[in-house]
Amino acid sequence: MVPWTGGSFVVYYNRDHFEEAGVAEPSPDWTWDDYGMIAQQLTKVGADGMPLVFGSFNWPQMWWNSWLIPLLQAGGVPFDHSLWGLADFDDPDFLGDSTKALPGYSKEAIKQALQMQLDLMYKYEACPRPGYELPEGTGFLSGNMSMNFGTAAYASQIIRSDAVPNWGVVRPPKAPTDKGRHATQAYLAGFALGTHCTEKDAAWEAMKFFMSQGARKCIFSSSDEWPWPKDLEEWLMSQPGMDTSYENALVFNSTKDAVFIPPVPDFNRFFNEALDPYSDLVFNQEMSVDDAVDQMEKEGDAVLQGL
Amino acid sequence: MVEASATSAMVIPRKRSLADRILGESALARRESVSFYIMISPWLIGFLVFTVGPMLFSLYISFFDWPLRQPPTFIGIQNYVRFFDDPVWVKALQVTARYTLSAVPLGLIFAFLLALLLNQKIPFMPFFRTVFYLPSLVPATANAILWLFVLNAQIGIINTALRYIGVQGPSWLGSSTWALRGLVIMSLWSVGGGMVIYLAGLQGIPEYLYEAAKIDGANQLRQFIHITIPMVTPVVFFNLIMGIIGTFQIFNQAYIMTEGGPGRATYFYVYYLYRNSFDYYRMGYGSAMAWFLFALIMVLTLINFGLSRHWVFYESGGE
Repeated sequence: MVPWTGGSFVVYYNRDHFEEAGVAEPSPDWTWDDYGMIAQQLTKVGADGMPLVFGSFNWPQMWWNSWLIPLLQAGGVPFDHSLWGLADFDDPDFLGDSTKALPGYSKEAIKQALQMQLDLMYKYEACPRPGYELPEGTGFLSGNMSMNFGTAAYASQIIRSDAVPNWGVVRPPKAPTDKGRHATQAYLAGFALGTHCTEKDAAWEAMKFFMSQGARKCIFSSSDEWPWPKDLEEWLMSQPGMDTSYENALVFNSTKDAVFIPPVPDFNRFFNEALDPYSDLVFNQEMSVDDAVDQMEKEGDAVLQGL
Repeated sequence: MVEASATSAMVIPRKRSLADRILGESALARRESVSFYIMISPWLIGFLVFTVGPMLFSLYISFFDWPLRQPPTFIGIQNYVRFFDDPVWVKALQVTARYTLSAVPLGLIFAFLLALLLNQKIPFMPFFRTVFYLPSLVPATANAILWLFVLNAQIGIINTALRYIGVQGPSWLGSSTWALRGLVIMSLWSVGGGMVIYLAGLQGIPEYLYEAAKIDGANQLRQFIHITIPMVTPVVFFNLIMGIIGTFQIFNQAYIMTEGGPGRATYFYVYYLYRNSFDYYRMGYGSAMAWFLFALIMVLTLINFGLSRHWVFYESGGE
């Protein structure tokens, strides 16, 4: 598999919702607390107590759209630093010094991320709790959600659907332990180097080519993924608050500004068996964040060690 | 036919050779045998190729570590030994056993009560029987989608009804406390199959037994306890065996509705088997899980057959 998309996360927001609620649009230097409070103000509840609009995204069943984005933003990854060796992801040109900056098995960042998601559900009451989905959906394109995290390429879906015509984009809010790095989607690229890949060198070369700026521009301009007559990356970089570090992360020119989850053996099993069951319990308020993270570490290590 | 029969009748008896025993004693018998095997061959080939073959292959592969895209490596019985070190395997077995222990008795009682109601002599009974049987004809996937709405915490029909009486219903599928209970309630939706078998059993009870009981002064409750219940015990036994087999193989609900969550509350055995085989590419381990389940169900069935001598009443004396 070759990487066809990726890039760092941004927050897409529904401008109409902000106008209706009389809330100022987010500034690029906003924080998680700002995000929670804004999401709370945007959430609308009907006369019967039923939510009509959720201020924030949440889909605990789908890890990528939920707390792992804040986790990455907080500077964390859910693997022990030593496990990077398992990833076959050691090309020095690509990684540079970035692995040295990784914080290891980021328990504190994981705790922060879980707590943020929990707060959005129960403190700010700004996103659906587990089992509470609106019948017509709660995705950004349903028009029932005000803010949504997505990669740069998600913009193409918003444009094509035409369901939310008045929208904006902004950098994700800063985590309490923000290190200036950007949560980045890279797992598609990682699959090329999975455990079962027999031609890792060739896959690596192909991946580097397809992730290069020129190739990505070519892919976007020649495919129907990007329906605008504008270049995605140029457009995104023209938005407020986008700096060089974001551009580096966006186009994979350098990973020193990106933080992403490395591809490891048993990738799916790690998330399904070690992370999801415990984040479920946290989001149901049936387990404390601390206990859940301890269990995640214990079971996650077992999976990654091949047990 | 008459001519052939006459010919057969004139054949002098002789010792049967192996070929005769296989092919039949006469040209007609041989033709009939050949016709039989030709007619049955599509099913037979299908059975051998798509059922027996994969079963034997899965037994073979259960002794290997096979990540699907790499050649298998022989590891002996390690896949079977690994069960006991795998906390998720233990959890999946526990969850499935809890589901079986709840859904099977409830299903048996519910189907029986429904059959009793539908055995009354009132107008439009065929209509009611059809209505109650219909849900069991709905495909499992459609059922699962339907019940996602029924069990929805916000707009689901159960919680809406509870709100009318001032009760805030739980987040059925979002809570690890309530998810399994929700699926047990859902299982009652499909009791139509068992109900029909009960109904046949009830209608097979000879009327003279009730007449004799009435003459002896037995009221309706005593007739029910001493005639109806004993006479339907073979049906109860059949439904019990089928129920245990069916519930131990529960999969769709976890796959479509809950993904085994939340917090592994609905992580059924077959769902874990599926994930191992097709998500994690651990085909050997998945096959070993399948054979363990087969053995477990076999043992439970044999135990039930042993215990049935104490409570199942056969009019023919069990012959």
